[in-house]
Order: sequence, then structure tokens, then C-alpha cells
Amino acid sequence: MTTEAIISTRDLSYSYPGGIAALSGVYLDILPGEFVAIIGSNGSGKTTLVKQFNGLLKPSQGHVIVDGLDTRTTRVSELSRIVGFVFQNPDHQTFAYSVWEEASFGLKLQRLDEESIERQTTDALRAVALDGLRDRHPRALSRGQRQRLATASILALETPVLVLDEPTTGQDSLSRRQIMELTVDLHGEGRTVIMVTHDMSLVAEYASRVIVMQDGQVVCDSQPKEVFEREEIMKSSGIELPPVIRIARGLREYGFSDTPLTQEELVENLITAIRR
Amino acid sequence: MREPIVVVEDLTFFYSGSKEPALQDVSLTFHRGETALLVGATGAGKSTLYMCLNGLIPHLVPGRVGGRVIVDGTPTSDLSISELAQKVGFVFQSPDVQLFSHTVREELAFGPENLGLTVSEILHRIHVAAATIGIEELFEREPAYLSGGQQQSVAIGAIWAMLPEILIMDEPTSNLDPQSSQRVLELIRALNREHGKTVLIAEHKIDAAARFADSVLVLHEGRIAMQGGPRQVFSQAEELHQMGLVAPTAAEVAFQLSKYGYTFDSWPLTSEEGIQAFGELL
Ligand SMILES: Nc1ncnc2c1ncn2[C@@H]1O[C@H](COP(=O)(O)OP(=O)(O)OP(=O)(O)O)[C@@H](O)[C@H]1O
Ligand SMILES: Nc1ncnc2c1ncn2[C@@H]1O[C@H](COP(=O)(O)OP(=O)(O)O)[C@@H](O)[C@H]1O
Ligand SMILES: [Mg+2]
Ligand SMILES: [Mg+2]
Repeated sequence: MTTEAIISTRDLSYSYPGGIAALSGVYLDILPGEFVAIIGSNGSGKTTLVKQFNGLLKPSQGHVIVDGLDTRTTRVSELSRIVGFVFQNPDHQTFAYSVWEEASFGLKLQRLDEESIERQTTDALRAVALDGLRDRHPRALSRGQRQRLATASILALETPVLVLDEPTTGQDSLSRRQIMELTVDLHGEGRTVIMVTHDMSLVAEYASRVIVMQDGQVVCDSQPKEVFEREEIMKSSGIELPPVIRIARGLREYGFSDTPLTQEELVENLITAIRR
Repeated sequence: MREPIVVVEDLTFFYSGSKEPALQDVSLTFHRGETALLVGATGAGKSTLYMCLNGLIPHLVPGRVGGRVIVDGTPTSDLSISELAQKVGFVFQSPDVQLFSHTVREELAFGPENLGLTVSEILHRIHVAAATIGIEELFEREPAYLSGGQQQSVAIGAIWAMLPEILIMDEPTSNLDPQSSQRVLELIRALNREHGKTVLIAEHKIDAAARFADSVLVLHEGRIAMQGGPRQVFSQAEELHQMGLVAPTAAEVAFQLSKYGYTFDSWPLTSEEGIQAFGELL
């Protein structure tokens, strides 16, 4: 398995300079093309874990191997060609004077030709519905718009691995759907997607694999359907059932036996069951 | 009985240099003891409206204002930001812009100290706030070095310690895990019910928030698009969709089923109500 993995962690532990132990003994293999959701309580170590994937943080103990490269000995600039990283807080990421400049910055660093920069930037801005605001100063955007801009500037890079730390936080349902549709498209093109989220509906709908963090450790690594059956894990990891699953479960006592993961599935299953 | 506490009259606001108004002709009234939920697409003007209520607009944010805002009887233009801060507690959308102390303890003490409370009262307040929000373990930590959700909890705790008459929360649960979000919303409800405080909250997580609100206000492109009780607003799924918004899941499912001719006596909002309503059809 190890040879296939695009990201592997081996006995990964990490303590912040002040001494806070944020990760302890994490072993993971993430395979190319997976769509992984990382979930867990506030402070459980999710952001710390994914920051290891592009070398923003280096292990205190153990190793992280990205596409065959050990992050301890590889420069962040090299890792960032493989792993695109969207921060939890967009303001840690935006710095340019216009939306366009921000979104195209990474591509310029990669010295792409003008035409590709133009195309990839336009595509990315359109995907997050900011193409109409290309000359706006990032600071004059609403917080949700800034988050989308941060996402666009990473999407434009078209890296093989995409790490999204709470990409839909503070987004309305339309932008949330747009961001997810784009992510699904990129995943469909063969990219590996690793998404940290507190939105259990997203987990149910999109993830093929769910990693649950608790106190710096992986306490569950499974498929969404299975995780949502593990009541003890959910309870101790700050998780609640997404509404669709909660409703479907509640309907069991009325003879409803399906296990839909999306709202559309729930509606379809309900109609079939009612007509029966 | 329904005493107005915040009155907004024909409010229009242009950020300086901007040709489009962020708010246009907004008029509304919030009553003492009410919990109002503000929804709207990103960029609709929620944060701008809230900054008008705590005086950041017009006192600090450059721009052009029309109309006026009256808080507890006095126009905000006649009150300083610090006078307003005594009445209006504000939890910012990005918690890290709000946190500036070296320890969580100091952060929580800052507000009560400015209210001129006695030392023992201050200590009491910060311990109650920390225990209520569940951040006692973080007391000696530096806010800048906390996880996103922990920072948000601290920001909420800091306002909690002030027990303001009006509590404004701009997407307060955006970074919180599902259980913590639920807990914060329940606590806000308790503050409102037990202490009679007025709570204005902007949220995208309407599945969790809908049942806590007395009233719902929908902003769209700087204007008020809908206003009413939660059941009234969230039963209009089509109108919400046109604004890029959705109703709670149970209401959305009911809306889809209604297209097939199924009807509901009472429109379900929560999962529990959904189970009940859909169960009856099965
Ligand atoms: N820069 C930092 N310096 C010191 N400690 C930190 C820092 N960032 C996070 N921590 C601590 O490390 C632990 C893990 O934090 P992390 O940010 O990884 O959590 P998370 O799972 O992403 O949480 P959230 O859901 O709130 O974003 C927490 O105890 C947190 O307080
Ligand atoms: N500092 C600013 N300068 C100029 N325009 C701004 C500023 N902040 C927000 N805006 C614009 O004002 C409108 C309303 O934004 P905001 O109130 O933040 O929306 P919301 O909180 O509903 O997401 C948006 O069009 C946004 O781009
Ligand atoms: Mg995090
Ligand atoms: Mg806002």
C-alpha cells in the first residue's frame, strides 16, 4: 500500500513551540484519487494534521511522505506544487491588491505562460462566482467572498492534491454548492481531495472516506455510513448526525428502511415508500 | 409589552469608494427580549447591518450613511462606540480580529473591567462565562494560538461575561463543531429566555438555528426581502432558492414532496417535526 499512497504519515507526532501536543502517533495512507473528509471536535488536531501535508508544519517525531518526498527535507515551495492548501481563515492567505492579482499570484510564481494564467484564473474565479469582482480589493469583500477568493487562488494552481480546511465555513448554500461542485469536478479529473469540515451533510454527500480526529489521534477511519452508525465515536468527537440521516433514522419506526445520504435520495426514497 | 429596543429607519450605507450601496432603505424594529435570525447570501449586507447597530458605522468605518439607527432610545450617531459597547455586545464573524489579550483569562476580564464592576463580580462573571461556554481548560492559553473553533468560543465567552442588553452575533458558530454549535445556540436561547436579553444572530446553519428564532429577517442585496416567523419564512422555499438560500432540511424535503401533491398541515422545520410529518404519510 505504502508505495501507492500519495500522502503517508508514519508515527507522526507534533507539539507546538509552546509545548501543546497537537498530534500523537498518527499513521495514515491517503491514496491518489481519494475524497477524504477529516472531522472531529474543535482543537482535536485537524488543521495541525493537514498543515503537515504541505510542509507548513514539520513533524516533531515520525515522518510525512508526500508523493515520495519526506516533508522534513523538502522545501515548502516544492511541496506546494503537489499539495494546494486552502486555509481555514482566508485572511491568513489574502494579501494582493485586487481579486485578479490574488487569484493569479500562485500561477505567476510557477511561471506559466500568459494564456494559461488567464485561462486558469478565469476558470477558478468563475467557479467561485467572483469573476464579476476581479478589480475589487480583497479587503473590500465580505468575509464569505474572501473565503471564496482564497479557494479560487488555490484551485487555479490545479495541483494533484487539494487540501481544503473548512472550505464552506461562512458560505451561503449557493456558494457552498458551487465550491463543492467544483471540488467534485476536480476530484473527477483524478485529483486527491482532503477536506476538513464540521458540515456533516457534506461528509455524507461527498466523502468516500472519513477520518475522525480526537485529542491528536485518529480514532476512526471508515466510510460515512459506518461512522454515522458509531454513536460512541460521534458523541466523544463533537459530531451530530446530518439532518437527512437523522430524519431517515427517525422514520425507521414508520417502516422506512432506506439509508439515504443526500436530500435528493431522501425525497426519492420517501416517494417510493409512500406509494408502496 | 413589545418594547422596541433597536429601531432602524431608512438606513442606506455606501462603503467609501463604492458605487453600490451595501444597505439600501432598510427599516426594521427589534423588540426587547426577542431572538431574531438574520439570513442572507454572502455579501447581502448582514455584517454591514450589524456594524450599524454597534456604531462601527458611522464612527469608524468610512462611508456614506443615510437614515438612522436608534438603540435603546438614542440614535447611534449621538453615542460613542464605548457607550454603545456597554449595551451592545458584538461577536465578530472572524473571531481572531476580536481577540487581543495575552491569555484567555484577560480576554474574558476585559469587558467586565470596562463596565466598572467590582473585582469579585468580574471574577464571578469570567468563571461563569468560561464554565458556560466550556473553555475553562483554555484559561492560561494565548488566544492567538488556539484552533479556529476555540478562538470562536473565547470570543463568545468574552461577550457572555459582559451580559449585554443586546447581543449581536455575526455567524457565531461558523467554526464550531456540531455539538458546540448546538450548545452555543441553546445557551443563547437561555440567555434570552432567562435574562430577557435581546439576541440578533446571523447564521448560515439554519438547520440548527431555525428553531431558536422568534423572527427571521432575510436580506438580499442590501434590502430586506422577507420578514416573519420562522415557519412563515421557511415555508417559502422557492423565494429563498431564488436568493441563493435554502430552508431547513425538513422544510426542503416537505417542499419537494409538495410538488408531488402531498400536503402538510403544519410546515416542518426541525428533523423531529420532519419525522412526524413524513411518518404520517408512510
Ligand atoms: N499556533 C498554535 N500554537 C500553539 N498551539 C496551537 C496552535 N494552533 C493550534 N494549537 C493547539 O493545537 C491543538 C490542535 O489544534 P488544531 O488547530 O489542529 O485543531 P482543529 O482540529 O483544526 O480545531 P478547529 O475545529 O477548532 O479548527 C489545540 O489544542 C490548539 O489549541
Ligand atoms: N470594507 C468594505 N469596503 C467596501 N465594500 C465592502 C466592505 N465590506 C463589505 N463590503 C461589500 O458590502 C456588501 C455587503 O457585505 P457584508 O455586509 O460583509 O455581507 P454579509 O455579511 O451579508 O456577507 C458586499 O457587496 C461586500 O462586498
Ligand atoms: Mg482547524
Ligand atoms: Mg458577514
